[in-house]
Amino acid sequence: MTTDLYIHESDQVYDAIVVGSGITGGFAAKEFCERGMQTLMIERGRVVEHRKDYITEGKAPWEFENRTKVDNLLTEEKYAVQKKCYAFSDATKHFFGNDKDLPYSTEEGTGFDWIRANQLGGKSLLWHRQSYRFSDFDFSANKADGHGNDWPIRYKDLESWYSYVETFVGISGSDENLEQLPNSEFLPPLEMTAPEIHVKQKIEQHFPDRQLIMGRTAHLTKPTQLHLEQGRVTCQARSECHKGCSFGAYFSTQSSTLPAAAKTGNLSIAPNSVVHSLIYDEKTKRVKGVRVVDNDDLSTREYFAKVVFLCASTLGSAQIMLNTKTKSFPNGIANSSGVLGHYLMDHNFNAGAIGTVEGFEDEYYSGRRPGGILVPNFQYKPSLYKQGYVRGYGLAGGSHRENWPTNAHQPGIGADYKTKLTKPGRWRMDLNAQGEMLPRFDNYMALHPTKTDKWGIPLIHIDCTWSENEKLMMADAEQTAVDMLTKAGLIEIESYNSVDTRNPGIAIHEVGTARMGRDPKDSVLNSFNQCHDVDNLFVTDGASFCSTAVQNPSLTFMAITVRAVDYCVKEMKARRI
Amino acid sequence: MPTNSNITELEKKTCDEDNRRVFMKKMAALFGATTAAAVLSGCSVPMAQQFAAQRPKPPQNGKLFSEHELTVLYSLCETILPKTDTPSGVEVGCHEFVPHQLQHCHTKQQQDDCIQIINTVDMQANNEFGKTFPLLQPQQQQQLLTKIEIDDKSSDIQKEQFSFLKALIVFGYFTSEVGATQALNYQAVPGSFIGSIPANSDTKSWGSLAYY
Repeated sequence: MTTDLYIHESDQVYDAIVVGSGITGGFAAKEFCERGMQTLMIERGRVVEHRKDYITEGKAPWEFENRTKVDNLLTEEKYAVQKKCYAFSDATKHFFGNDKDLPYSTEEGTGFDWIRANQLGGKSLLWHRQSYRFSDFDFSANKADGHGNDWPIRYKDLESWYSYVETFVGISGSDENLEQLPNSEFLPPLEMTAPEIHVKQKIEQHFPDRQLIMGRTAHLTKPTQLHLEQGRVTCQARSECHKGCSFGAYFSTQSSTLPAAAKTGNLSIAPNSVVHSLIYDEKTKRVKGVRVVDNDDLSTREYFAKVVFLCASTLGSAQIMLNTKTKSFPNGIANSSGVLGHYLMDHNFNAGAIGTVEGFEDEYYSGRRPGGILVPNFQYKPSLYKQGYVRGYGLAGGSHRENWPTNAHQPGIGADYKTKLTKPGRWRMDLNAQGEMLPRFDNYMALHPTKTDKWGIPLIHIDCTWSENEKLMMADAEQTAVDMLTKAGLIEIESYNSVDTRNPGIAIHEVGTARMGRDPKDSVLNSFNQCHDVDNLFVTDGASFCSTAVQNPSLTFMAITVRAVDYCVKEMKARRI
Repeated sequence: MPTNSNITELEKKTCDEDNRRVFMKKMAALFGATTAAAVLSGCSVPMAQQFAAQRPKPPQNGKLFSEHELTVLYSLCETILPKTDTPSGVEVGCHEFVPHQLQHCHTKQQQDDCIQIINTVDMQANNEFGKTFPLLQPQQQQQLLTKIEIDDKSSDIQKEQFSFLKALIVFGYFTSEVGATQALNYQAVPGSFIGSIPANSDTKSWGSLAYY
């Protein structure tokens, strides 16, 4: 990367501004750049350089003062929310937002855990890398059962774009030919353990409607020439992904889309630039650019472009739009429908079960697998819905041999106990529900009427709760996970249901605040993620989703973004934008 | 009841390991050099009994544990994870790790629980054997801890407190370099994931994960 990649002040009118540099923004920038468009990527946080800024990579636990745990005082002061993320540790905390600087409020009696990653690369550095296509059942679900508005796209609209991004990103997985979970363009799948293969056979035998497959992850199990050219090599099975990966073995903005975009010579990046609002021209009814507050010194500046892509995260993009109040849009730009900020959703990861697989004492595995197994959703259309609630869930999990952290609590004192701790123990296997959350108008984010953050931007205020449907689904999922493990012959089964204690948000799959739709009266975006009300404003992150499906959303963020850029550039060339 | 053989045992435990000088220093700080030397030289039963009769004092220096509690913790680390073909809990510094980790990464409740269980252990040592825990024979120490862990007479709270402290000592051990790389089989860069490899009763667990 050249040093002039990063800019501060600029009068240039770019072809495109992309707000955000995560999975979505990275792809948007790459696609614009590769189509010859002068592109400005705006990032609110600091620059994180691939390899150079992975400051904890390769450090072993004993090299951390608190053995990778985060100091209490620091956690209390800066990371009260972030600490709830499974990936938060002393080895990764520098990639998480500082809660003290990034306040938001929630309605009394409710909670929403908002995980932040405000730096170049965003959450692409921290994601769980699970990559699944949505199916036609997912795009039709709202229409089929009447919850939410109909997606204005179908699987065929995205299919070729999925293929395009998968080829570039590198997705490991296996062809399963499931109608509810289409195949991707796959690199070889990660391997299953012997007990997983055994449980797969048992489950598929007892439950003909269910499959147990290897999870699909954005890891290079066998890089192609395209990946090698990006400077990426084979995954080393360290499973330390959240520290950053110098092998580029998992997909991130840094490892993949950013170098590709920079290579074109068409990319500029404005880091430390917190977008306050959009600049709207009442005469032309177009956005002209963005107003920015400097992340560090709070000075203000503006950037200009012919089109603006908001890829600032589901809550972030909607915040920018709500904070752009103009004469024509007193309630936020492109919000003539009044749904902007509403229909906030997350995934419901709140129930599951774990048990012991007997035998297999002569079996072990080698390496730390950066992914697990999946039982794809088996309630993916109304005829398959269970009684009492709508929609379904997938079950993600995996097996492991117990190790000292669990065995430490077994009775024992002295040499025998110590020796036992150094040996692999029981095989345990778990299944954890990834449930769909219904789109509901009542679940929303708005701007706080009085409070602002240090950049002078109104705080986000969130009112989002699990509905009865989500609660019933988790109760069923807990029982189902137990049943499946029982039928598969597992023993010592324990289960959990945390829907009453865990807030939405912590699945980090928040979507839905500026949804797509055919009707401008009940949606913000059209089928190409273009605002119904403002032709040169696009939102291509999770804000645009009409439903959550059960799949991890990132791959669909990518595909939908690439499709929107392709459309946008064609429209610009045809002078319709 | 054992008599003065405990002195010899303590002497054995402290004479050959360099890092056990720390223990002597702590005892010296606590009881004065003369008393400590007398106890550790193994020639003064009355002195040892005087040592055992000392009541634990709350720390005066803002630290979590009193010097006496630290000596009990030291012996706990040594008893729970003794030296085998791999170094002991004390040798990898578990007795220093525990106060550090509690202070920095745990709740007040967890800190209090650990202080309490350490004193419970010592009180039971005094009640049953008439001596402070560090001065018991290893066999007595093991017997006493096993009792706390599984005996019906110890309360659920005591069991939970002990289990927490024990797990923290174990955490300190296996996240240390020696624990992760010698007691376990550590792969810094595994290279790839293989779903099935053979294992037998000699197979060691894989060493520490990247983070906890």
